Amino acid sequence: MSEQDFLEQQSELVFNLALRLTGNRSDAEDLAQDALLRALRALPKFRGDSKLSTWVYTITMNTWKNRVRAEKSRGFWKTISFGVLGGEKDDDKPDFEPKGEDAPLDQNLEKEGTAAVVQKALLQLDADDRAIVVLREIEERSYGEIGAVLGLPEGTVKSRLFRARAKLKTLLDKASS
Amino acid sequence: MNDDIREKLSAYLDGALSDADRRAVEVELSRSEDLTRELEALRSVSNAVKGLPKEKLPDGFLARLESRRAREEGKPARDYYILPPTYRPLAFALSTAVVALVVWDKTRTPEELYAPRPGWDSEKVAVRSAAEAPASVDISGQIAAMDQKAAAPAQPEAAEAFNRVGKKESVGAMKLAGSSTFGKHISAPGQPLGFSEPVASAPAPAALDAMDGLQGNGAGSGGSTIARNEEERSAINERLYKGFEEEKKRMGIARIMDKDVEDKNLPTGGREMMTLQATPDAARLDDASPAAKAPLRAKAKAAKRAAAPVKAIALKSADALQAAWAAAGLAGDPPSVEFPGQMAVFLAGPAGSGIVEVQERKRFLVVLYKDSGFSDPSARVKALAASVKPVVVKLAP
Repeated sequence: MSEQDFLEQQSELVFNLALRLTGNRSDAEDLAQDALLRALRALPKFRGDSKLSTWVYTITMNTWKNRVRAEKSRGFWKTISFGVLGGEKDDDKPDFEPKGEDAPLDQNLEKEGTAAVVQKALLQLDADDRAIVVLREIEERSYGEIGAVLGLPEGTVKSRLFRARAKLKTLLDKASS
Repeated sequence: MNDDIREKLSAYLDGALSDADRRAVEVELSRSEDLTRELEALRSVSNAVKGLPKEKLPDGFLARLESRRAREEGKPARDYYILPPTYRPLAFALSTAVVALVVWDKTRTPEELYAPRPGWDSEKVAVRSAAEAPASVDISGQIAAMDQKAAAPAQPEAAEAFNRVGKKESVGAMKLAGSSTFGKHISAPGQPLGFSEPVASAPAPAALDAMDGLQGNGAGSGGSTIARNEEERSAINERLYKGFEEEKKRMGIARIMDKDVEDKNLPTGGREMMTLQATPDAARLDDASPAAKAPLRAKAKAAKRAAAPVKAIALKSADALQAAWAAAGLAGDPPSVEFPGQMAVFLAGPAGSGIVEVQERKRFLVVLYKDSGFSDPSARVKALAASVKPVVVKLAP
């Protein structure tokens, strides 16, 4: 497969996955480009042992996890420095995920009503749970594929998906009330 | 309703249960309305997430991807400086430990610092407060003991070892033959390492007395100018001073002033510069034989004793000039000098003397004078542009 064909097939899938994971277009584009560049570098080594989309999702998920981990580390140092200097945080949002400068997706989708509420609730899940929900509900991946992408056993995927759905339900109920 | 059933409910929704589990869940669903409501709630959540719209790629996404790819080619795959993020907590912990150690060390009292540590210190250290410390310590007894030790003959085995080995090995041999005195004496007698004669001890006082203070006392002479006590130092200084005075007389130098002497040091308020006067016989002395030098030298000395001293003083105020004029016993008023733009060079010499010329050299002002032939006392004063150069007085040829 040529690089051009690969990009035409996978770019939109990767961008949408990134969009649901990050919650805004700016970070989503950055994450998607990172993931696609890594995939392009590794493409010659792809042997077809798994579906191409699963392979690309795995790269995207790993790239995103690395970012979340780096952000957590930065958040730790930020907390330390704020604690030492006695400063205050500039917002009350969780500081362990990348945040782009453009408006959050839920604001952009405000006119679409439910979609905005769902996206906002999705962003309140922790990273792994969000990844499982996105892969299952949006990308419609099987438990086995989700386990392969995230490096988790199927049983774990099953139980975590249940917990994530229950939490989402609570969040959506809270939002609707 | 237990969690196991609820968890299976989620999998049931996805069609991910085995046939047996699916049938068991369906039985439970038929029995429980709560479970049915739970299933519907999960389904609605799932549908809500599935209903999130798919987005198109932003405009220019692929172009930006290509340019980023071009930019990052050849760039090392590293997005951190100095330390990878995973090592930063370790670095933080280490630096915190160092800071804590320093703070702990700074906050310890002297008693804690100097307290004997079991297994480390073999003797106890007495710690006294400042109030208990003596006002002064008398170490004169120790110094006297050191002087006696220095005056005693050197250890025979050390001298023998020194003579036995070569010059290069002498220091090592001395160390082997005698115990080290490093750090035990404040001003221990001895010789510099570069001496040439194999002398194992300092020269006797008699040898010092026999040496001429003005003769070369460098490294090759055995280091005879090294004094062993205050008495010897005074004797050496006296000899050096006498020799220096003799040398000045021989060269016709009456007095040499320090270059930093301030004006206020002279009673006249002026500044006395270097006063040099060559004797008329100096050139002939250099050429004469030693036997012929004696009468010439005696004659020159007599003439010098008889001659009145000639000095030149640089004066920088009218009052100072007036004072110098009066001190020299001259009648009338000194000639006018435009202070402070100018300064006056005043010649203090015998009657009839006067300044012939003042030459400005690179480093000196040379005042050429004659000691007779001037009837006007104003010839003793020369007005010059203010200068800080030293003044040298010379008899005009």
